[in-house]
Amino acid sequence: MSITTIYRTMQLIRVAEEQLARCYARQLIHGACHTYVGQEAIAAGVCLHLRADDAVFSTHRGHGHALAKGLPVEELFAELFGRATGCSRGRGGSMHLFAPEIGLMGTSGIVGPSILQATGAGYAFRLAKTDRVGVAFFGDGATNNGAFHEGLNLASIWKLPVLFVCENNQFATEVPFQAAAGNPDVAARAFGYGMPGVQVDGNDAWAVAEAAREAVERARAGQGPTLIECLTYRTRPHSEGMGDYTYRTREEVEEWRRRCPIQRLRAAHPERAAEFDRIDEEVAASVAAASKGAEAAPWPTADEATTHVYAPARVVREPAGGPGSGREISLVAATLEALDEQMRDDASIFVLGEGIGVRGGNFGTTAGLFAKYGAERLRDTPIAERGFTGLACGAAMVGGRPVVDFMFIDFLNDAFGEIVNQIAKMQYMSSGRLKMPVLLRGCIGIGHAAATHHSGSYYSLYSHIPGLRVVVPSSPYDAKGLFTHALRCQDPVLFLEPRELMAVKGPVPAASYEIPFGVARVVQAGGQLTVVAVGAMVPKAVAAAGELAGEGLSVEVIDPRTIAPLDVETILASVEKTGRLLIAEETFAQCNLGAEIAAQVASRGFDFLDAPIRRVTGAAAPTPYSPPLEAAVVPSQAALADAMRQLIRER
Amino acid sequence: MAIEINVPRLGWSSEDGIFAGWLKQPGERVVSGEPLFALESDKVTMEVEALDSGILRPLEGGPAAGALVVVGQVIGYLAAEGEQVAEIASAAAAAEPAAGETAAARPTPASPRARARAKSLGIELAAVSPAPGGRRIVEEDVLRAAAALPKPAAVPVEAPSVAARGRRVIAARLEESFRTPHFYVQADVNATALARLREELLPVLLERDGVRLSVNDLLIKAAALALRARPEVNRYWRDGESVPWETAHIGLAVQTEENLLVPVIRDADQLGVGAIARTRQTIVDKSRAGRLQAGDSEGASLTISNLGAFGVDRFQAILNPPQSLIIAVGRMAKRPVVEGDAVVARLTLPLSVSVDHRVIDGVAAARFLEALVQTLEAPLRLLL
Repeated sequence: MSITTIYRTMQLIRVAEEQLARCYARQLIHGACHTYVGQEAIAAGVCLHLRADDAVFSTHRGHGHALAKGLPVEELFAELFGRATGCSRGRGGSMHLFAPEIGLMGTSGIVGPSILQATGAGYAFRLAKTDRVGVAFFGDGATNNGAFHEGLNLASIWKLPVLFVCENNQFATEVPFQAAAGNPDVAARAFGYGMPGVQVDGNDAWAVAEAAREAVERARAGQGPTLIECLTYRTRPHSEGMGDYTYRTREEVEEWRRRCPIQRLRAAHPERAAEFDRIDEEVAASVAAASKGAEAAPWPTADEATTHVYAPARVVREPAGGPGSGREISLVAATLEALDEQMRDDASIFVLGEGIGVRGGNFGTTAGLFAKYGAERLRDTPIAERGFTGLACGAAMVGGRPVVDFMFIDFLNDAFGEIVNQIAKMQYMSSGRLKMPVLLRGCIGIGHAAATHHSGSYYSLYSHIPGLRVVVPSSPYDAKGLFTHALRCQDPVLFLEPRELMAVKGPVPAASYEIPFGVARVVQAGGQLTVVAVGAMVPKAVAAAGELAGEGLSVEVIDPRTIAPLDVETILASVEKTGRLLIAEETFAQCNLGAEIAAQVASRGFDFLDAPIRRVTGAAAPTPYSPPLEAAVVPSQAALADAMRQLIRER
Repeated sequence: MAIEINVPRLGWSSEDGIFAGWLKQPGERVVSGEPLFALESDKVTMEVEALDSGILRPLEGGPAAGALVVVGQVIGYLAAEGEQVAEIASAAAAAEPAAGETAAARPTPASPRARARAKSLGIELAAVSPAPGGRRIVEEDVLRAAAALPKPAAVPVEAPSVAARGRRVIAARLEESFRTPHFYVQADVNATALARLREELLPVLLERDGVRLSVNDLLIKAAALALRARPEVNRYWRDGESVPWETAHIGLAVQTEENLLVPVIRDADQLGVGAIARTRQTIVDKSRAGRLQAGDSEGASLTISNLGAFGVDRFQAILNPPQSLIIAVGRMAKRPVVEGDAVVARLTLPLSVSVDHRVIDGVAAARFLEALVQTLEAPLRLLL
């Protein structure tokens, strides 16, 4: 039975790929087409032992994995043809196949993330106390990528239920693996991570299947991950239409064609020839029908091009009472309270970070939670930002709700690709079938001689990316409500806490409440000038406005609270009243939030303006250490007050 | 060194004018205070006096009579005795980059908010200046300028009323109209037969149609017939040329509480006087109720404005663009008239027709008036 299944899967992949190559030549495929011809035994052998609820994360060469995991062949064709009935609704093509309903969590155009995401799925499966496994398919090229190192290490530390399946086809695109690896024995590297490593003939389906069976059994039994290296060869070009004989010889390709995994299985089972012949006929008919059906399938319509960038928003209201005047706690205590409440109510929430376990976080962001929720939910990590951010991505894709505590947001930039290319795009690329409730938090801002790697803000950079929510609270009350909302929403959120305000206390209701994203706070009403201030600049702006009030000048201060989405309406309404707009930020000017606000107001509120829009910003330089140097790159309260006065008087 | 002759600002808001010719000959000696050249603005032609003395040297290639000149422009020089024109020209060329002509013509910058506010208040930005030391006009400056306007009420901070906006439209149109070259032809109509006809028809139409026939109704019909009899005046000025009206619609000036409106009786040449009376009643009612629609005031060949009911004996009206005729009707009254050698009392109706001279010449206007008078004096034609 297993032999039959493996044979059918391999034959389906082979015939489908050959038909796709024809369709590429007929220009039915609009972009790249990376075929899996020659490697069929690996997908067929591994997937033989997977259930529909196991999660597969794959690569740019993922057609075979998709079909082996059970993707209807017509959905594959329709996707490459760019049709609405494609598995990714025409959003992905060859490199971005999504069918989470059958455990095909996604194939990726970036080398490496599949390793981290499978690790994350394993983490979430463990946390949910299931025996599901995560499987990463990747090529030999990925083993030289940092994701391989970080992912295997993380999976090994926590003995996660993960299969790392390396398809060593001997070329990373066109670069020979021999020329790219100091130690070209991939399986042997497993030893370095403290996990079993197995090398198999990747063109022997049964050998692959046996190795996979053992690895899956280990994973389900809680014994941890396995690295399986499958030696194989792709016998078609890297991508259809590309030349093939510059970096390898025709003879070599012919030699590997003779080692065809399908013919080998046939040769090993001459008694099944008639059965295999019948399967060949069925497969040929089904692929022909799928190709024809996909060609007749409808195109997606332009109005679908921007849907599912975010999950449908939950409609919540900020409580009418506001912060009130009761108990006062610090900003960091406010988010801790919110995190505690939500962890109590939602078992899928877990926190990753350096020193957030027993220690309770560098800033006390998780103080006391380890004792309540244990090590699995308050997970101290190695210093591997890309690794644990990619892990968080994979965990969210299978239903987990990770909170990644970066301590200082500067560290987040080491995970840039995982955030921007993976986390931010996943809901869109899966047409909303995946939800990405990932909360990425860390402190921002300049002060206390923290110097350049502990002083960044970066909210403008990340708010440029569709799919991300970016929050910068400036008061304990806002912080608790926004943090609670972040933990209940389905979108990835960057929660950036101004470090200079983390210890500042303010009134916070003890009961749980939410503050929705995209609603600015008018911190102080005034009539002659609108000041939009962010983070640590909010209290500075309020203090400067106080100075001006003594001079008879009236300033309105607005805190956007969330950078994405941005509440332009509140800013416009204020500028309509005052006619003058100043934007105060600690970060440098070029392409910052202020530039965006200025563009929006100039466009939509042109007739409100009685003077040019002006910005107060930090200096365009990395943040220096020495106090006089540090002070010189940050706008002071006095500078802010001066800018306010000048703008009010500008004629 | 030759002294520049510049175009002065006429009045406080003009930016340009029409050069109407030198009042001295080139090469003639000019003494300070003597009339030097003529300049026309919208309103007046002014003789500009020399500010200095010298020999008049008009600028080579400078403006001819009738040319548009901008304030500050150099049009010639007052040169010293024996100073050569070539020297002046080269001196002028050398001086040119430094000359502030364009700067002088460039308006003061204004903030978007100030522009929007000025527009909503109907204030010309040219009439607003920045506060001392300011480089641009801001909203506050506009509000200050608005407050300084002679208005009985406080400065409207809210958007102006519909009536105020209507008044602004009227003002702009009249301003435009007043720039068109008008002339006037006038006659006193012997209104004896006209009055009798109206008296006879009045009860009939009241009984039949429920409307009171007015002298205006008869004037509307008569004017429409006169247009048809003299098609050479049934024309108007459009984009630099005279074009004919295909129709003979007549506008009637109606004063409402707030505005002057001119609703139109369409195809008055083809309507009976009863139908005209009914239509006139309807549109006057609509005007007073403020229910006139956009098309109700358009397409008339001429307007009739009758101030007779207010005791005005005779007056001259300003054209209602794009029309080229307007008939100002005075009070119908018995006036002394010479008949043979005797002075007799006779019922007369003074008419004054204002004419757009770009479209209609004197004789054509006279013939139109003649046709109108003949019809009104033998008014049974109105019933044909």
